[in-house]
Amino acid sequence: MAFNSLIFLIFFAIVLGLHSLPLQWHAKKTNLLLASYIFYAAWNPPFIVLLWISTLTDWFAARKIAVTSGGTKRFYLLLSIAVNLGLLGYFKYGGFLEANLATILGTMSVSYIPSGANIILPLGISFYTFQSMSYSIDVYRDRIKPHHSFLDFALYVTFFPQLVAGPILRAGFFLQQLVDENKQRVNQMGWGLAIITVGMFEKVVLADGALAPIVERVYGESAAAGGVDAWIGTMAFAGQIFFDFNGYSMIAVGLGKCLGFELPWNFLSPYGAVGFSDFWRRWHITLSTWLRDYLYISLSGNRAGAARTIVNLMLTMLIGGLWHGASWLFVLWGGVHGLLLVLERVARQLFDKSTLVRTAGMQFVLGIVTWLAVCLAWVLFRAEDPVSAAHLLTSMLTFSSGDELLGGIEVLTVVAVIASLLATHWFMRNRSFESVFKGLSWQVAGLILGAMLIAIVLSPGEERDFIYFEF
Amino acid sequence: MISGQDRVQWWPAWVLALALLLLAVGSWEALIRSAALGPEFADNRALWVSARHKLNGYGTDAIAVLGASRVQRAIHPETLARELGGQVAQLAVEGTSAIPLLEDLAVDPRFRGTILFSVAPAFSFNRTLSKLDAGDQAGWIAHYRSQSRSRRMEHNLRLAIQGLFAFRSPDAAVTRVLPDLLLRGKLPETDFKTTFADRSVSIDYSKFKRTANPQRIVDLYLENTEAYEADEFADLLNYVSAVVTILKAKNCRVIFLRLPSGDIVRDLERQMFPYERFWGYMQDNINAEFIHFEDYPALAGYLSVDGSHIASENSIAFTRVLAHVIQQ
Repeated sequence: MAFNSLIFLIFFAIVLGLHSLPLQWHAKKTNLLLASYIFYAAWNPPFIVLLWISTLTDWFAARKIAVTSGGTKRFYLLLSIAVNLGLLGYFKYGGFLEANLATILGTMSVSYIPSGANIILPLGISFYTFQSMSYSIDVYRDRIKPHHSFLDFALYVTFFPQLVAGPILRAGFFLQQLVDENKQRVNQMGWGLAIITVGMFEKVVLADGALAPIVERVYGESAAAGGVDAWIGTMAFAGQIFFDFNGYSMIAVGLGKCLGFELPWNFLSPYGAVGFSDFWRRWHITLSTWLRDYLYISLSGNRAGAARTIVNLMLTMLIGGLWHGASWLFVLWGGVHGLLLVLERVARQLFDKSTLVRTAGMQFVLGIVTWLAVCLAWVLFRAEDPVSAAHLLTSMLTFSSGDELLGGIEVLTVVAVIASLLATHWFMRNRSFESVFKGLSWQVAGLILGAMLIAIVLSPGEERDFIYFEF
Repeated sequence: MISGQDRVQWWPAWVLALALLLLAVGSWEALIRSAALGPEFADNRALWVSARHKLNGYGTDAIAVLGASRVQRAIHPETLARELGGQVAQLAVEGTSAIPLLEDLAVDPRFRGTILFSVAPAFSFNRTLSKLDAGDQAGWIAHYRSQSRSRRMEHNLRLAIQGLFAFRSPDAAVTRVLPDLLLRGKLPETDFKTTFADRSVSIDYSKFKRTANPQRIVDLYLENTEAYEADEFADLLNYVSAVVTILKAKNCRVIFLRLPSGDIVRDLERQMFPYERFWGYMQDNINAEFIHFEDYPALAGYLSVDGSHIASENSIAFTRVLAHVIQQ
């Protein structure tokens, strides 16, 4: 059940109706948990079992971690990590690992034919395993106490607005919201619906309607793409993936608000970033902070000298790349970002005292350089295979000629949408969406929301899944 | 980051937004209807998958129509259902081979009805097309099989809305209407093809003159078609025969049709795909029923100007005659 579907609209209206009834808070939470299971089962009912396995494992592991010490405590932590990563490893990387094993054995003249088992990737498994596992780790690190209510914990793992593609929640942040009912919920509804509308506009009109067909044209015929078309197609993808994923995340935040919950923002004007560390503080924030807190810092972060910091950064980004999908291109994409972060660290040390770097003009130039590098890296993320990626990158870097894949209207559409996106992100660099939107008069807010609703309803675009559903 | 004051008064803002929405969509709907641009359906995967799902509920009454554009344009489902006393699912897909669907119905235990398989020479006897993957049908079948229940409900809802509101019609897409309205100051004309909820289609050749010429069909044949060699055709028929045997074991009725063509199209088809070598060979090697237009003079006289398809205005009359032939 995707957020951009009519079925979800009906589903959410029913859930909201039930949630607004004068019931006990416990009953409301039970309703939300059941609704979350129905939401997940609508895609593929048997995979609910995986959610239960993850939930039960971390519920019991965390309780044991809290009352044991030494090796036993560590054993329960490893149990949580093994079960969650085991599920993720089998369902997401099983086929990939087997195919690579066959290749490696093949180079040693050992014949191994992969089983070819058609393993279906359960929706949201990359998100809920990370979320569930972080609870056990936080209890292990004494950051939180084990929660007293299994219902609350199950709802934390399963809460439908963020179940399939985040934002990835932290137990300490969300579980406390489940203790007592938020009496301000009704007042938040107007704002929650506004966030949902903006998110839906980004997904339906901009990502799916304006940009996706152009991206598909260029990346579907990458061998024929010349330099200009490759750049336009890649810029379109930079816009598409932002509007798609930010749209999804905003809808999740808005749904949460309508139900009385705060969910973290996942994006803060990432294309207004100056530098790559700034980019990762603004892009898919709940994943990048998860990787920082549970992987980078666990690897010793920047506490063990410069060389080890570089290794830790690269490892974190390579694993972060692999998290996105079972493909060497994702690993490479993560590796490129890791390398860019390392280069930025070196550059910062070299130019730390330079006043020129801090001038507005230089900040703008660095912002553009950051964005162009991020765009080049997106090619690895979107290309169908390494050959297509190599061809597109070559075309982009050499501005080679090719077939005319895109018409004037399509080029203009991309330029207009991307220029507006970059200008908005630059303007919003140090502002929050909330502070800007809530500062509008009701007339202006009404006009903006009305225009967005009209565009959503009249949008002729095809119905497409959210890109991050594949991860 | 600073969180701003909640200056917006949400209640009036939402009233304004919804009023704008109703006004804009209502006006657009009225404008679109004034030019008769809808409501109508898009002849796409969603509509096909919906028809395929419906077929599952028809039981032994099911009449599945398989093939390409010829049979999609020729058959009027409601008339066929009335004449033959069953429930019709129009599953033909323009420009494709229907062999993958024949296989799908054979392995589907719920299907126990009648199959009308239209043999379009360009797609059934053409060695340049893969026998199983030609065109969209294989992909559409895969989509039908993998569709979750919620996705199916979603598609049915969207189709219901498309049938109710003109602004959801393919002819009324903003990207099609707005440029005409802004640049030429008038609404665009309806497309030459209109698709209905039962997947029947109506073609207005006066709006698409390029297709009204039989020479175009002949040119397409000459550019894209190469008749199977005898051994290749024998292999294909072995496969089709095996599929038909599975269907017959489920008490299904399978009827192969060769729908009419005329003038230079018919002459070329006769020349490229000689009756005895193709149709005759099929009759000899497949345990099914066969209706070739050249064996039934009653089927003649309904063609459109393109010489390859039944004229839309004749589809009801042609369907009646065809049903009569089938009953005989």
